[in-house]
Amino acid sequence: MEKSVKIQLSFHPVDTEKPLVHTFAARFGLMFSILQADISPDKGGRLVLDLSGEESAIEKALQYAAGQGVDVRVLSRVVHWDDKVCVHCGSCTAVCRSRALSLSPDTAMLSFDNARCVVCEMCVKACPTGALTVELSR
Amino acid sequence: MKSISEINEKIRAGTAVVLTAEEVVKMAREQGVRETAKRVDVVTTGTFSPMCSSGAFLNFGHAEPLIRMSGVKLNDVPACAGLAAVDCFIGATELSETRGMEYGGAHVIEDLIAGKKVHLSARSYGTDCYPRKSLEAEIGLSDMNQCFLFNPRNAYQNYNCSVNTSDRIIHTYMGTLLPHMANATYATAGELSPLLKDPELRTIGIGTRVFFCGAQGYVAWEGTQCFPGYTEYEDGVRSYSGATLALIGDMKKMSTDYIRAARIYRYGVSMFVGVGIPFPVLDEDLCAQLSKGNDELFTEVSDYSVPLRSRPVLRTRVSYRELRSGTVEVDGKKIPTAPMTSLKKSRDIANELKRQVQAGEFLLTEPAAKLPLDTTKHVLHALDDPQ
Repeated sequence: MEKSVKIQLSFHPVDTEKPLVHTFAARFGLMFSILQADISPDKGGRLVLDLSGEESAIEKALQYAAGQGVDVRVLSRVVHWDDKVCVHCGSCTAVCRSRALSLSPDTAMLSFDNARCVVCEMCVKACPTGALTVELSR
Repeated sequence: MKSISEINEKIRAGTAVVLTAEEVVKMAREQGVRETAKRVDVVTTGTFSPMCSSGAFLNFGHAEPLIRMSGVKLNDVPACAGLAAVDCFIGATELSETRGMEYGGAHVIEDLIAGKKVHLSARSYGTDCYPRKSLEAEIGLSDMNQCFLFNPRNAYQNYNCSVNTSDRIIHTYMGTLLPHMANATYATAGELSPLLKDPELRTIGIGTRVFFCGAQGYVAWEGTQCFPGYTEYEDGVRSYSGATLALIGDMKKMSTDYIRAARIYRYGVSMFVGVGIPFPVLDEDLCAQLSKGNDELFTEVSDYSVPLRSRPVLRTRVSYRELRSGTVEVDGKKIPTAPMTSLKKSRDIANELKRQVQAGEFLLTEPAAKLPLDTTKHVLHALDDPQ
């Protein structure tokens, strides 16, 4: 079954040279898009990916990554935006580094691009009206 | 030159030309201020922003046996009951005794306006004329007598843009400010903001009718900390700030479309208050002010990591056009900006007010008295103040 998951990979400094994302694509046939990357060879860092492909292939790929000493976290929580509760103030956009939340220059209304969201959950705290909540995804 | 009564005649006749502040900025640029002043009668403004200094007077009506309430809580939020028997004032920022920053006075006010019942818990010491000592009730807005919002400080003329130069995240009433100036927040509707459009308060005074959270409210007084003034730049351009309004209005006529509770993380509870003021286009001078666009209205960038009376100003003369562009430049660094004021709601208010004036439902008012322009600013000297 085709599936899409968001994952966060945390690298130790020694692991930063491993071609992990290439392996995901080449060996496991997965599609990926990099949502956030903050890695440096001397410090390690983290990578947030959206992976899609066969569910069994994703599982194998994540097992492979864990076997390489990389800390794998499946981001199973999703941010939910309730446009009926939202007042379009824009306070959430102040903390949204991935720019998933933005105000339209024309209509001044908020829009939420779930594909860009890295589920950092900063917006949930920043929202004054409770329009942004975190839900567990299926 | 037009007078307010002439404009009201046109409103009654349905012939008044009414534009929102955004529309008049555009028209003045296309046709010039002189032509615009001739053709336009009324300009409507709007703002929808957290305004902490807000609250409501409520009268519960008398119970049997009678009680002189000395302690009042609404949904566990304490209200001030130091008034007559069944009067109270609930402040927007008062926090729930059981839920803390999750729920406060602003939520009680929003729940009541939304038509919900709230739990009233009252205590008393009992007197010969008011023997009852405690009372519990479920009450809604329609069960009570007079309920009016009385906000001591609303519609701030102008407000600074906030950044954080420290190396830790700070949570302020201007929102979450990231370390090393990684973001900037601002809280004024720019060219739609009411008091920026009549900066010397020529037409606003005590008794001015305003759009107040969906109802027709009134300017009750100068707002608290109302210190009207301006900064004059080298080229003679003035940037006005400091004026505020105390507003009063009937809660029973308000709508949650235009007033909402706000929870500001690790700061507390506040209230989004929707205010709109219609301005009469009396002459060219006033029209020139009403026509000022976001590129001609300015504020300054302040450092909120310094919690002192005068926060360091990092940049002056920052236009609302720049703030709206998505970034503001400070020390050569482009900082992403975010508003706290809902431009969408501010526009909705200016448009709704325009509709009401056009329909003859909202007439302009001659102020009963002017607001003072020469207020003196005092500071508080604590006993432990080193100075």
